[in-house]
Amino acid sequence: MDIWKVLEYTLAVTTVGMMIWLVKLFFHDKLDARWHYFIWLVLLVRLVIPVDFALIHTPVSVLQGIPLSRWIDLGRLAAGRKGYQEAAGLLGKIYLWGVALLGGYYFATWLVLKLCLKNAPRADESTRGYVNGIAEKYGLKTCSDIRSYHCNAPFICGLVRPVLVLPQGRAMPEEAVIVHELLHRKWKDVSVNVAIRIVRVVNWFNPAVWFLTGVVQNDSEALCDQRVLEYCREGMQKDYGDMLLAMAEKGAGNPVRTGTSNMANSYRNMRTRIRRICDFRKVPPGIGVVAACITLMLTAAGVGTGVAHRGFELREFRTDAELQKNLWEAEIYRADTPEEALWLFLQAAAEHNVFYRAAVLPQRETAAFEAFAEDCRNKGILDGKGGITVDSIAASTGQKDYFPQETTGIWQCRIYNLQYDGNQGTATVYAELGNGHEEAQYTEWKLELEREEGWKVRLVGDTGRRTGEYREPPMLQGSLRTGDFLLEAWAYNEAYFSGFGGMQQRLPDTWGNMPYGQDALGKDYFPDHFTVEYRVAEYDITYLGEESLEGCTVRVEITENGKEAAEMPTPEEAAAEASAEAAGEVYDTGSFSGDGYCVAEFDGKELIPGEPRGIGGGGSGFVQPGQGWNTDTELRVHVRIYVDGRLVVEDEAVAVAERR
Amino acid sequence: MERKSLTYLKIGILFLFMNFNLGKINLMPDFVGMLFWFASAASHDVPTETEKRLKPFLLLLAADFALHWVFSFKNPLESLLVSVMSVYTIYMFLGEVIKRIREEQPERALHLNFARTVTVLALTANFLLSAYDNSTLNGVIVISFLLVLVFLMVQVCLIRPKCGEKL
Repeated sequence: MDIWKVLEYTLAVTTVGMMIWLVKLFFHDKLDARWHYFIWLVLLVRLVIPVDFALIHTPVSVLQGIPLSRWIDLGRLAAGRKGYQEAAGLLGKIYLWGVALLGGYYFATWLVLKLCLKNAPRADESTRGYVNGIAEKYGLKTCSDIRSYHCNAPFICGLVRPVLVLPQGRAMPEEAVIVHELLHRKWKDVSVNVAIRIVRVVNWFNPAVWFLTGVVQNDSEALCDQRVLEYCREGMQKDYGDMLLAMAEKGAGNPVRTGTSNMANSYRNMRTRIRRICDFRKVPPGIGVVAACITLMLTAAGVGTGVAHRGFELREFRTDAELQKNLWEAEIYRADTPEEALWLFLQAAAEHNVFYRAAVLPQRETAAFEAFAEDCRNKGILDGKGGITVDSIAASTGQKDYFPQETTGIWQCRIYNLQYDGNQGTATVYAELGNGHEEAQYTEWKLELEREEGWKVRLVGDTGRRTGEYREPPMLQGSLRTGDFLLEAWAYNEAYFSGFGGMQQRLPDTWGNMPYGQDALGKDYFPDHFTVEYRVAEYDITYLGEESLEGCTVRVEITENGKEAAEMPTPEEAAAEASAEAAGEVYDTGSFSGDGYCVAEFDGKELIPGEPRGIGGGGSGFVQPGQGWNTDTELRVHVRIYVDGRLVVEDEAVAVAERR
Repeated sequence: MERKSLTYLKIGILFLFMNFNLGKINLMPDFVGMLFWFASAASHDVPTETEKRLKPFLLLLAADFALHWVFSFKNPLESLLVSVMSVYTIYMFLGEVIKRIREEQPERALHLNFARTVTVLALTANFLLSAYDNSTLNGVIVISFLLVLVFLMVQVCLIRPKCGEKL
């Protein structure tokens, strides 16, 4: 039994219960007994629904201000680190034993009572007549089974076939007392008794829950008292209150038993019941509207889960203990989406930050990572905010698995081909290094993602520093040999986060919500999706013929996935859509491409036999996630090649994902 | 309704539902409104049972609003308690005003009853919905809220003191 889950559950129940109790304290004489009783339904919902089940997200949830999940996660992590896993396991077993023992005790007492009542003498005719007369007088259902038993006061036992139990050898109970018990029967209050027992069994170790369930019992009795007063004659509050007091003083109450209507008979409980009786009819009428509004607010606060704040603060640390605390805070952070995990990884790489890295490191590696962070601190290369202050982490620490080799001067990052299912995923990151180099320098990282409580990232491939042209990794690829031409097609997804260069300048304001920013409280939060993701297709053509095409005009038209050639714009139309600068390019190269098509027109001398020549490519950008290519899709293209206006090739090609 | 009590009521509602900010300081703080309402409840010749029970709430709310006027803080539990108490206090306090004016100004009482019900519902909706980050929804809530509050203030300001005397 996971004792941490049990703790989280019982703490959530306690929090919501205490919230309700606190509000009830303020309104003890301002709302009637019905409201004071039925408001506990909010707690019932919380009892039934698991803590991390997002029934409704409400920013006003009481759990918003009390980060139970975070505390529990920290506790679990600390126990694990300090070697208390066995103790936690033992506590789990003790908890289960407690449930079994207390549950067994309640069951046994109920069984004993049932057996005793089965053997108890039935009430005589006059008693039955007395009870039935009262039931008929007040329009209540009587009990077919009435027994006499050694008890101080009457009670109802059982839910399906309730038995009215009267004290043996004592004077007949007063009319109001009988009405009280019959009202318990009418409203099936025995079920409340049973439910309270179940709650106590599940939360047997939590004194706050015992206290709260005691309040529920008392409220149930107080409501029953109010119902008695509503049924009985006007002005009998004082008589009824005197009677209850007399019973309490004489010790005439019954012990609270499972499966009965005995709920709250102690003298202290009587005080609450008497006060409610005095307040009877003092609560002004017409408060239904405001009572409903208050109930709605409490329901939202008690039942909802707070809106998760994505992000954590990097607090400055000075001691080893503070470093450890910060690392633990990061380790319990849950990246909700793979995109968020990737963002954290990039942030860690760009800033050499151990906290960001710890937030997306697989759980099995965190212990070793903590040792690594401490080692960095001991070497004096870790600053107060968790940044490693050397250019090459691998060279200084010998550690290659946590951070990429080359991270200095990252000014642009692109994420290629993020693919994932419910539990794992992959992505490739291209990071351009430095700015102002004559030749472009970059590095490429292969990442694997896995889902634990949140998404985690592992670095599984690192090219180090490279120069030259970068070829985007294809997700789909295919080729077509047709006539004297070889067409190669490939498709990939290219994504960006704002704040990692590249896209930032080109993003217009109308791209929608900036995923990285600040919330209303001015706190930073992490993005949970890309700023934009492009779905791109590109093409190369290779001439394999022997005859030179120099002097010939070669035109290649490619349409994708069923798009008709007639749907392609003319060069003039394409130019009119593009900006003035792009229009110049269109006329110069005779090529244009867009969503679903690509056209290139050029002199045949550019086709050197055996050497691929780029045709072009294009695609669409999306703000919403999941719009790009995936491994289940295929790129079908229809290709036409014209030489000097004569159609020489018309064929179809398919690009698919590589099957492993 | 007594003239003095009515005056306190009217001034109080202006402070409660109107804000005039000079930089970060609100020159019409809410806690002053609550104190005026407390004064209104305390100045009746014969206070009702409900008015007596509302006084602690009025003082508590005044204290909380004063704290918020001095310090800037946010706490979900405190926010919940204050919202719940505010809704109850406004509804019940205005309910007592309605009872007092019903005999002499039945139509005013009817309008005020409608206004206080709608105000309380608007306050509840504001509490439940405004924290969601939806600009359209927030805009609708703000505008509706403003209209409701203006209507309520107008109804209160139109109440005449006892014996039909005009202020």
